[in-house]
Amino acid sequence: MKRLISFVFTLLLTLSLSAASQEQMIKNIASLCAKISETTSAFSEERSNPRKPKQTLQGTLTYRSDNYLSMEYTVDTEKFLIEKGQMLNRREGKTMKYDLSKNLPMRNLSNTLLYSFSGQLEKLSKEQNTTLQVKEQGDYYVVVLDAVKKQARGYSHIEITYLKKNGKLIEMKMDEFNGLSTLYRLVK
Amino acid sequence: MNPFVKLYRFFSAHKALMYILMIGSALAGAVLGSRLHFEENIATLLPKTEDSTKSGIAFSNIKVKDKVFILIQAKDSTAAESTRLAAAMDAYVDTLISHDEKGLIANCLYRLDENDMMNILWFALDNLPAYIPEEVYPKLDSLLDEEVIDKIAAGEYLPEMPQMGGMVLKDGHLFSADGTVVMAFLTPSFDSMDSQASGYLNDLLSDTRESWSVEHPDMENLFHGNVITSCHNAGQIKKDLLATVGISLIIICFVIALCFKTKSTLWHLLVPILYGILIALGSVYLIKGSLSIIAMGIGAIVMGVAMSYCLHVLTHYKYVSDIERLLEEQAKPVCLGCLTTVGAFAGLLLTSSELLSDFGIFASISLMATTFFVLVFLPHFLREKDSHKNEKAFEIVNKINSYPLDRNKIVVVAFSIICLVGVFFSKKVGFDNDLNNIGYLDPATLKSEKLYNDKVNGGYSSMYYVASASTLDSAVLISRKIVDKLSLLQEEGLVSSYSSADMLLVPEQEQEKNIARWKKYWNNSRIRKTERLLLKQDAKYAWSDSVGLDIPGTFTAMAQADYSPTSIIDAGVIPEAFLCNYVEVSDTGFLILTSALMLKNDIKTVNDQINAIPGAVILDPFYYTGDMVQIVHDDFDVALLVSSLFVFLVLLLTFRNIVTTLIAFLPMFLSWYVVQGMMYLFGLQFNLINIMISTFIFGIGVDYSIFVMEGLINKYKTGAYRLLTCHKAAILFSAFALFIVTSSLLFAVHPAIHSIGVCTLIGMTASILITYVLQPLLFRLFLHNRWFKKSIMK
Repeated sequence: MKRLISFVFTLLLTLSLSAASQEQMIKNIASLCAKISETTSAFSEERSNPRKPKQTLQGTLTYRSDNYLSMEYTVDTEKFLIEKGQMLNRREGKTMKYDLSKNLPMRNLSNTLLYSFSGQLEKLSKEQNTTLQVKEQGDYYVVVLDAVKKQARGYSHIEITYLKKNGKLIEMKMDEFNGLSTLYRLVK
Repeated sequence: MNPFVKLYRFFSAHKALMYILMIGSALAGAVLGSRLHFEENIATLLPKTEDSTKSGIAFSNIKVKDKVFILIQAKDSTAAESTRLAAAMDAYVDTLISHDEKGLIANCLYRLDENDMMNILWFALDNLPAYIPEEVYPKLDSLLDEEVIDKIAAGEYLPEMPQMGGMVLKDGHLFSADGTVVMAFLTPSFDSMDSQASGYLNDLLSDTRESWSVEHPDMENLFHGNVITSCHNAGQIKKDLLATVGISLIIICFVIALCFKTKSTLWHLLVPILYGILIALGSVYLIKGSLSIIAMGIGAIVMGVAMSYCLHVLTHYKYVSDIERLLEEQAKPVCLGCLTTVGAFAGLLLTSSELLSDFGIFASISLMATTFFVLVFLPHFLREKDSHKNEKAFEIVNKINSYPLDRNKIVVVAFSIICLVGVFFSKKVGFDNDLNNIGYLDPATLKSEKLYNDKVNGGYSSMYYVASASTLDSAVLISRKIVDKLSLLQEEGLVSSYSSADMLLVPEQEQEKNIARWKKYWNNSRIRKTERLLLKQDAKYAWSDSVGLDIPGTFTAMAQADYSPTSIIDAGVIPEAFLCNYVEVSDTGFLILTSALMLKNDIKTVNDQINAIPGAVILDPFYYTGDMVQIVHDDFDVALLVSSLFVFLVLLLTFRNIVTTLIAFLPMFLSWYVVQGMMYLFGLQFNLINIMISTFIFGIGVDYSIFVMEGLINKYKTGAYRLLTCHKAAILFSAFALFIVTSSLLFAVHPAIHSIGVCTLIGMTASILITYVLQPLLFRLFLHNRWFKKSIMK
């Protein structure tokens, strides 16, 4: 009996400590990211579709804390830009412009990226209706968001890796329910 | 002594008091009258029936009835290009919205942009299974066929699209099915009763069209809608009255000035009428706060009667040149005329129609106030020189009046025949219940309506039905019943098509059932089979790339996803400008709208069937007003009876002689039958407006007969023609004035005002002829009776 009580107690303690450290890590990420007013780095984007060959693109990514995000690809048929409530998405030469105040799907995509870069993980989790797990892996924080329920659209799984020392996002993987996946890798 | 002579002497000694009383009361009337709200909607002025109350709840809330339809087409319709038309519509509506400084536009549906489409797709992906009813599944089975999917992927198979009336979506814009007309639907932000805002919106639309036309000379912009129609209606009534009554007044004043020779006559003629109007407006404000503009418009014509009293006093003064004698001889017939006329109008107060009682109040008060001014204040402004007259003109008038029409056998026989024919056919005259027929549509609005009906409704008439309930689910259930009934009526061939949002408004419990059915339907083997089919066709046609969505992956995700009930309204994915055509949320609950197209002849049958559904409302004020107009008609018969009894009693008390009373009553009684009979013979019908004016015919008929009777009695008693000559001269001037006014109404463009002209002209002519022909004839004939002679001499 004593052993059982001691096991339950240890388990509860571990869980509460783990919860406390989770919360702490989320706060750490948020405060580290808040210090980044602007960052530019080379990046790669890997688009996966189970029915198609993998596509990898490179370019330069710039993030600013005033909700600005640009991805300039080396291939001039691709471009991505979020600026002042507007989003521009050029894919395979086809350019689309969206008013983020009116377009729900594009606002969702825009928020997913901006919340990730700015470290607003709780907001991201709430908007995507996901669980939120953070773990430490060496020099990194690894954030995992899993959808609470199966959906016809949106992300089933998001994994974001931040550098512990400065909160810089260096990797982000977004798996969609329809089987598509996108992996961004930023140079440290 | 005559009380008016006493009053004259009193105010002669206290002039300051008279001026204070006169100016003070006029100012008070003006100030209070300026606060009066003018009601322009005919439907709101009709009596309240159970049905109308039911519709009233919905009508006051429903915005769709106030929708303004904006259409653009190429002037040369063969040269229409959808992209150019769409751009022209964008330019028009964008300018319109940017110039809307007063915030008149709540929303305007003129294009469904990429954002709207994506939002709807996003919502559909999340929730579609919750909205798929059971009957769709057998059809879904037929779609899961390799051949069908092949065709869909190749873009050769277009599944049945939901009905949008006769409209199609092209370049994100709403077009007529033939692509020649691009459309927009504007919802005003204000209540349709706000006539001032309606006027502003109409101006905004017109001004924008003007500037837009410069940039688009090869295109035509049209617009219509209830707000526009009611604005044009009120505008046309004002224009017509200003033009007809204004021009008539100028002619009358010119002729009167010419005959009466004194400049002051015009002021003496017009100031009492103006005083009467001010007092009436002020009093109506205190009694009701609002007044129907139609009632006031018609009331303005009744001012002709008031003018008649002024003319009697002024004409009489020309003959007697003595104010006290003038009052002695005129006070009684003028007061009696006023009392009986007011009695005729006051009968309208007993009706349950606000329009009739508005008219009754306004006309009665203005007549009383004018009479008061004429007998109390006016004499103080009459000077010796005012008795000068154009002798030649008066000689002609006297010559006409002295012609013994009542002794001309041809005239007597002809007029008696007319009266008999009138009485015979009087019951056959019809009453037009349809208020549409007395509304005014300007040519541009008419063209716009016709274009919309031809292009979108395919020549059918469009009707809206409303399911009204406190909760959305209850409203949906009522809406379903409406749709079921329309479906049955469609099978019977009474309804051409209908469109409802009830497919999008599924109650929560039903959504849960739909979701469970979806889950059950998409078992693993079906999912795998469909996946295989989709993958094959996707590879063959690069289907996913063409639509920008991974088709096989999205299908699998949809088939396997977990769904929960949701509200499409709360989701906010459907643009408000589009949604308001189907659903409206008000303080009292939810309104779900269903539109249907049908032949004009079938509207009544369909409406009656829908109206039988509890909670269903026909969104056509004229459906309910048809009955109400009939009630007004029935009310009018009561009013007529009461007025007649009142006038008869007053005449009896005054003349104290049944024969004299009957002879004096004759013009009122007989002219009504002549009007009815003649209207029937000329193929005319009564309507809500011109039936009101018939009280005016009674009023004027009684007035003339009282004056002539006074003259006839006086002539018999004294053997002198003077009083009869004076009265007849005044009657002739009054009849001339009224003839000019009523004839001018025939030139009115507004059908309601025009119909008054015809009706009044017949009634006026009949009244005058009865007064000039039958009244003296009967009086003379009865003089052969010794008892009658004796009773008159008393």
